[in-house]
Amino acid sequence: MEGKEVRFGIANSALFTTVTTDASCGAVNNMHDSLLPIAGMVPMVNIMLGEIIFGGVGSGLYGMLLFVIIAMFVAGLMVGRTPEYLGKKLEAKEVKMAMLAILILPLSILGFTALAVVLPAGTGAMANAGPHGFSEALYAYTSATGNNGSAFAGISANVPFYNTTLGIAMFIGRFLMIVPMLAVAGSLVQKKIVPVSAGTFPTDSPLFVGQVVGVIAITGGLIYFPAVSLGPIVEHFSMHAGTLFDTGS
Amino acid sequence: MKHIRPAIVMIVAMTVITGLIYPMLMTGIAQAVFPYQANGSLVEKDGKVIGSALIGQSFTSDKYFHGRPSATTDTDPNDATKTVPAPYNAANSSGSNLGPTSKALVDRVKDDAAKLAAENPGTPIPADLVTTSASGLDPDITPAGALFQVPRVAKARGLPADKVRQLVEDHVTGRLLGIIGEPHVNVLQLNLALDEMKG
Repeated sequence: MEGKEVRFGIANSALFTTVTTDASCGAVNNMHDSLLPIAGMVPMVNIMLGEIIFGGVGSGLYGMLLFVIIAMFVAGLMVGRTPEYLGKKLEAKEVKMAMLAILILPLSILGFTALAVVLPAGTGAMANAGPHGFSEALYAYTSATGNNGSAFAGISANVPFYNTTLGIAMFIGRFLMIVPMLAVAGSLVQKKIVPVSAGTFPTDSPLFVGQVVGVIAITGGLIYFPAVSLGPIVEHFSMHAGTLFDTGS
Repeated sequence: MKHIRPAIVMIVAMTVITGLIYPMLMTGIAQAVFPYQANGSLVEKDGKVIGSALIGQSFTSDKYFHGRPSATTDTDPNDATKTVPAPYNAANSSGSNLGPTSKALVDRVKDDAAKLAAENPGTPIPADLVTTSASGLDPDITPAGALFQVPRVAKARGLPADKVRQLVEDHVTGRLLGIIGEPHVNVLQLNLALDEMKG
């Protein structure tokens, strides 16, 4: 119950935590910093994948469409055919732009986290020692880049180092993701619609759903698993081993 | 010029709509339909405002039910750059933000648990009585947390424990619509009722 209100209890706190990070909401009804490690990992992973479960407020579906483009591209590679989506051919330019948009997020999240955990200015602001401190920094850049707004609030983000880097992360997370998406949109608009043929991958099949979910899980897993394992996963096992971390203050 | 005029008109119009009309309309509706909630759910006693049902207060006397521990702080009066613990400081809502592997958190919980165990030996300690809330201003405790304190309160007031226990049970608020949230007891309202109860 640490960091939770009695009237919400554990179940409603967990539910709200998940929902607020499935979209770019960011309001909280409990302190995410005090969640158990795996519970704290869930909102983090939700934001890292681009808040695609409901879609971001004001940005809607485009986070998911990125993964759809990649999924169609992968499907096209499997059968050796130019992928198409909604009757439009997906060619090198669209796939490159989609990859760019997908890779921009981890560049900001992982890059800045790496910086924060080696610089004294970054580690000095953490409220928790050990892997939980790492999680605080990781969550901060995840939330800033992913346009969420929730936080592992123990971190003293109101210091010059975090103000500057989180500000840059927000800029990257918004504009450097939107620009490639607009490029994809602009390029698709100019293309002629190709008629549906026997080689078209149907987008209303369970196979397509599996393909997209698979791409999301594999892309997200490959990109973020190492970072997440250094934070919440290490903490989870430390907790069960009874290891405690002292900030020494 | 063609673009500037609509831009200026739009700014002025939206300022008036979102900055004046909308807030005033909402305030008016709130005051007319939900005056109690809109004014902060204030709790009065003998015509004097003594608190809000939504903001917890610090009770330390044995004669009252205590709320949960609070992690709120205030500026140190001797040194403006430091903070000192100030439970239920409504001007600075915050949680402890300590994670599950924090030594500071585990030490604090152990200390508090030892104190509570001495107060009511042999009874399991409800988790909410040793953990700080997200806001630091939780107005509620769990029914178990209230029942745990019954022996202490009854003894300090010289009241029969059964009557105090009954009072707690009368003050339990259930889940909203039967499914949302958890059953809870409002500490301030329970203590007010306690004061009104004559032995």
